[in-house]
Amino acid sequence: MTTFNIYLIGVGGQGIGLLSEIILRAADHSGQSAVAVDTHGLAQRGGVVVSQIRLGIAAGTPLIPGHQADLVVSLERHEAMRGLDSAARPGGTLIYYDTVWQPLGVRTGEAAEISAEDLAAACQERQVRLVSVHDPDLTDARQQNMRVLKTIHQEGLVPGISQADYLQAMDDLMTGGMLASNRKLFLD
Amino acid sequence: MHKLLNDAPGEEIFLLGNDAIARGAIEAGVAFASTYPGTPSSEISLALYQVSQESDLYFEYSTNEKVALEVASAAANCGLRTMCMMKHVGLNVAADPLMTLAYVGVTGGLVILTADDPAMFSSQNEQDNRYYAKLAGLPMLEPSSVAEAKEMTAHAFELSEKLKTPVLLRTTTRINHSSGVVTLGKLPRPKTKGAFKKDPFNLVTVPAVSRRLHVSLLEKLERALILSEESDYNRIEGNGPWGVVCNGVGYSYVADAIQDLNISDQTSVLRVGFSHPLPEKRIKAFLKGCEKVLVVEEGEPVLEEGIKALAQEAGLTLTIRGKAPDLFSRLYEYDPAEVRQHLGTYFGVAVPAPAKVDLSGVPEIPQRPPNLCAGCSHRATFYAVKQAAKAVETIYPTDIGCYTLGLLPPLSMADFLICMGSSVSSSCGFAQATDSKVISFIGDSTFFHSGITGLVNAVFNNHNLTLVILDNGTTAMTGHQPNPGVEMAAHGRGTAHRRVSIESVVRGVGVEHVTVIKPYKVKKSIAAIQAALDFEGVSVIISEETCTLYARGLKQLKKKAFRVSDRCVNHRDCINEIACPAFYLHGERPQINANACVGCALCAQICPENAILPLKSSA
Repeated sequence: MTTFNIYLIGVGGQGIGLLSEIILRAADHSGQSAVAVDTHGLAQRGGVVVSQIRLGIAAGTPLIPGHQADLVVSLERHEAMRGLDSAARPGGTLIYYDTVWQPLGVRTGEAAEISAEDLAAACQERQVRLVSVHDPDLTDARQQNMRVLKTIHQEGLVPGISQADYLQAMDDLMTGGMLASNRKLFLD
Repeated sequence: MHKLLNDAPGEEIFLLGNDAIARGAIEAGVAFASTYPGTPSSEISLALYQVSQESDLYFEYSTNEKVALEVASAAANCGLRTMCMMKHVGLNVAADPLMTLAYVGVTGGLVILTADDPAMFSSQNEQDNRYYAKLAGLPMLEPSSVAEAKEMTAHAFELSEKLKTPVLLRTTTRINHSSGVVTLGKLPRPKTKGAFKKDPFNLVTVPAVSRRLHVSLLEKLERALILSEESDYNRIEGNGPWGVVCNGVGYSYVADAIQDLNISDQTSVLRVGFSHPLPEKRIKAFLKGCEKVLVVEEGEPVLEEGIKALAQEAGLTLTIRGKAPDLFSRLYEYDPAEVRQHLGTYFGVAVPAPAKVDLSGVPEIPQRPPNLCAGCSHRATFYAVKQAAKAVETIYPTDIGCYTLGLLPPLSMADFLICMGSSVSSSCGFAQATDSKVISFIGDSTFFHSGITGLVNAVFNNHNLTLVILDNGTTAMTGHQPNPGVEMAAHGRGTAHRRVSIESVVRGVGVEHVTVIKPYKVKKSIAAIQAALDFEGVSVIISEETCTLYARGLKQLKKKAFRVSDRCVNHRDCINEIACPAFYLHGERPQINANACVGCALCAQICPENAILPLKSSA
């Protein structure tokens, strides 16, 4: 079985951990072996949060060797650029939710904000396919992770995982109103 | 039912490494568990705490790691299978009981988990706790995967009972926070009531007793050596002349590298999982079959030094290398690609060139260090202290918790930190050694952990300092564990606990100037802090406000977001002074992200134009 590497990156508090766990469990439901690793602790306080998933590996390391991510998933534009910079392989794909959580340096005027054009140009230069997600109808920012998951599924960006697998994974990890609204978002 | 109580032997489920360790303990019949939370070990405790609510397992969050291990030592000496979890630096706090408990030993299995943090994802140092096994003379096990973490935890209890000694189980962050498939084992019915057999001349460590106990510790180590020689956790794979010795997560990097480089016929791998005592005979036999050996271990050259000594004993002169400027570093964690590169170079095999990535033409990506949450009360306290101390020369010793993030500009409210509790004690030294006003910060949980003794010291030696206790009602940074200052019943955690009031403790140890402030009331807080700074001697400010993240989790937070009105003339104090992450720049204007704002109103109180107003206001 060939390996498929997924690198997820976002800002602490955006829900990268949940998104990562849903993909991991969906992969499991699809019958693929997988390993994963997440960030916990201090970095979750608004810092950069990274999860890594490797499909097709039963017992090896979940750490993706440098620039061998087949898919980079990000929930924020600066972090999408960081993920591209540190993990994406040429020929791979970057999907991100086009929203901005300004790093402190941007707010204090010491650093420049990364534009959508910057990111598109950088992807082109590195031969990475760019999928930008933005949903003007989405009112709850906490659902941006599930909105990205929806496009990951629609575009078939992770091999071998069916809609039923994703839904099963969502059932495993969410309950009540949160599950209902995210299922609706995913299926609409 | 908790997922870790799933009684379906043979079923395969996905688990986080820390959950797998908890499950391993449950499968071994753990009856008693104590801990002080610390990343990367915290989720083991969370899992066991949850399981204790549904089973006969006794679990406690102890005040610190020393206390946790002492509590555990008694349970284990009453015959109960006991687990004690902590992060690597926690074992420093518990080192005092550890060293002598090794002499005393146990009757019920005692597994002490130390979670090391190479690369310091969430720690103040990256010490290698394998040295503790050597220092204390205790057996040590080190898993290489999530599945093995479960197995080894269960095995560690058996080993401990067989040798009548505590066993150290050492993990690293990438084991604790990895997820993988584990196969569930059987759930036994553990013995939950212990019995203590009096035996003072073996259990009371006066010198005459300890002289004998040290002899028996060395005998236990001899027996441990035999078990290490026989252990399947010290296994050799392959029979080529190129030897690789590895442990922990490094094993999977080595396995991947050998596959990638297509050198499995030329290599043999010794994976050391039962790492203290080292399996001497097995290592010597392994070395005899090798032309040269590479040691792959994160952290210090523990294996490398041990193996070199054994080679010398065996009269072997083959090259053994590991840590070197051209090979592996003692710093940080390893990357699988780096391990592959060094393996290739060392054994003279071409390493496939990594995918070429053109780094040109990409704008610089702004750094994103972690920061205090929107509405975090620590920000308000820091701001008030800064204002109150404007006119004086200050030193700000800080401590370990979310508030350590006060280090970063623009708050810049941290000058010195070495370990848990050091804020108070180091303040005593700074106050004596300088003429500066010393103002230190400590959180509620850290105060109970190891701040109280420092405060007693300050009172007794009459140092001139102000201690600010940031009481947010929880142990926030590691995931909102309780601490002795928490009203457990009010947080839905049962009625089995009694709250310890920080204010009573502070007054009780003799602090004369004590003020409780509500940090979101900025003017009042500044005045109270000024009065504390004017006090000659030890003064304490207790800043009380529930952690916003915790309050949100408990659904106690009534968010009333604010907005920036047209009165704004772009002073930007809201960004440049307090840097609340709810703010962003829209063009040139500060704006508030209403989703992030919790309505603490700190910004509204400091805005020179009074331009920040509740979202639902008309002005």
